[in-house]
Amino acid sequence: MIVPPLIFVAQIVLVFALAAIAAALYLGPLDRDARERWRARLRRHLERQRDLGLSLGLGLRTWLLLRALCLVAGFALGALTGVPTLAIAGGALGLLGLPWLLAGRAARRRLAMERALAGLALELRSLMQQSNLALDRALRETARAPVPELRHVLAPLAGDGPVAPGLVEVARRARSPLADLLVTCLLIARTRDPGSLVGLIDDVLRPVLELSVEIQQENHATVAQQRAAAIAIGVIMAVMLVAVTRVPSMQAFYVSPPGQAVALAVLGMYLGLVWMIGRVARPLRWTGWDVEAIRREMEALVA
Amino acid sequence: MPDLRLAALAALIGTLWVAALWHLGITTHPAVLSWRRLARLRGLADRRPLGERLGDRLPPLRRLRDETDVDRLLVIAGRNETAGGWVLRTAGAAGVALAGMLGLDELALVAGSGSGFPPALALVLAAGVALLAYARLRRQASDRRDALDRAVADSLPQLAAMTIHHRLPTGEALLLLARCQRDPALREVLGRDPGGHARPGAAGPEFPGALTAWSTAHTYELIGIAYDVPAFTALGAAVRRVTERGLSAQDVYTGLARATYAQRLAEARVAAAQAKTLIVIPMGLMIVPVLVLIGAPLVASLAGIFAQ
Repeated sequence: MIVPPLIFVAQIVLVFALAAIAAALYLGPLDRDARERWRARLRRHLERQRDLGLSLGLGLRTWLLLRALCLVAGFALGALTGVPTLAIAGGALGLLGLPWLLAGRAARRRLAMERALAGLALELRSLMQQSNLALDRALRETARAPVPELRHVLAPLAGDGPVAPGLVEVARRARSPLADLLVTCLLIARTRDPGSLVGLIDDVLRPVLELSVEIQQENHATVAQQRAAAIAIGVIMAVMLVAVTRVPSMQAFYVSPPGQAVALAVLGMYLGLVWMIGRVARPLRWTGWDVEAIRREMEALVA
Repeated sequence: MPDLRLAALAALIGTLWVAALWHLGITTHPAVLSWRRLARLRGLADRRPLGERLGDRLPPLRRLRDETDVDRLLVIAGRNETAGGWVLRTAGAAGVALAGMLGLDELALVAGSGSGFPPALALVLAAGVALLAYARLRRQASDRRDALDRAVADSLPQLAAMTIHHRLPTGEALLLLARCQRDPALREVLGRDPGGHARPGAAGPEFPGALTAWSTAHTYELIGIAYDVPAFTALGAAVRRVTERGLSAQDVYTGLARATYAQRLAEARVAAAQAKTLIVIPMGLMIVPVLVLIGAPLVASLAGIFAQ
């Protein structure tokens, strides 16, 4: 039997490829950290979902349930057009559109809280330097008469409980890297030298908090404008699609496989552009802190 | 026409002979040979590879070497993998892509529908897979470098508060802070060597060529150079100012934190200003899906009419 040359060449290539994979497996292990990276991504995603839910005053489970309902509603609305692709696209929009619509609201809430944090740092400094209060006492004073944006966040410090766990709870409730920065400095200053905190607030914390809030505000303003424009265009497209599917000849096109491919391509383009808008104005990135670990380490140092 | 092969062979042998004489140092002065031997025995000789030594003289060559040094990229990316393993794995993936494409082509041929695509396309795809693997490695290295830079810079205010009155050495304080960060990058890079100093690659992969640091400041500077993390280099200089010149730790670290944050915020401000212009591009492109949505049925019907 004569083997065609291409089959012969393909066999050789396949043998080489298998040999290369075997050698790679032998010489270097496959990426074992991949699972860990995926877990970290999932954790970040869940944190983000928790933030979005909190912006509506919902818990994580309720928020996820709401998203599932939106998925079903989107699918049902898409199914009304009679085009299978649009039904799937409607479901996808229901699932992904809600967090996108609410992202601005969550960002505004966090921004207002971070702006109030700059004021809190200044107030702490004044109480310590001018009123000569100890750090713990100054923290309690500020927590008992907080600005509305920080009422929920500072509530753990308002009672008579221990200050260090209260600060950890403050960071947990704030869910903001800037709050983590402030709380970690407070935890360290409590156990080292509270007096050093005044200089740190003046030189680093207050300027950093104020400037970063200002920049994020600028970013949010830019994105919010474009988000509104993207929503307007999305609505126009949806109205046009409904109008188009009411014309029999056009509906016939969109029910056919090429028409469904076009509908998918249009949806892909729109989602891609929306994704691009989100990528243009990227937020400032900070290192995340395990505030509970800081508390433990500081207590171990003191002990 | 004379046969050039013999002449070329003679030239080759002559060249090899001269190279061998040069390598054996036949023409080198005995005093120079003795000095080289002594320097080698005392560890004073430059034993770096030729590429590195040439890189010192030719900066573009060094940059090219840095960009394509897979070993270095793997270490910076924090991947426990050898360069040989990575190359083979990438070659394997490219080979599978090539074999898959050729297999598809074969199937099309066997089915009798003719060759589906030119075989060169399979080669292009295989090369694309290899390039993507390299781009991914570079992105991972770049992300981890940024994460390290941020981790050090974001530790400076806490470092200032912890090292006040020299109650805690800077090395200890930074290790403690690294343990409290959610991102393990800094924790992986910092470690302990027998001398009690931090060194790169303690928990993660070992950096090629062990670093021999003799102080915390020097260690941080070496880590900064090895991982290309400016924050580490700046921290090394700050530690030197505190330990060698006796400046106040709080003042030095607070000042460094202020400068670092000012730079980061200035960059963010520039990016925010650029975003206002850049965002116009996707907004302008939004018209394309609208046009496609309306135009596609018309184009399809026109194509049908012309086909008849």
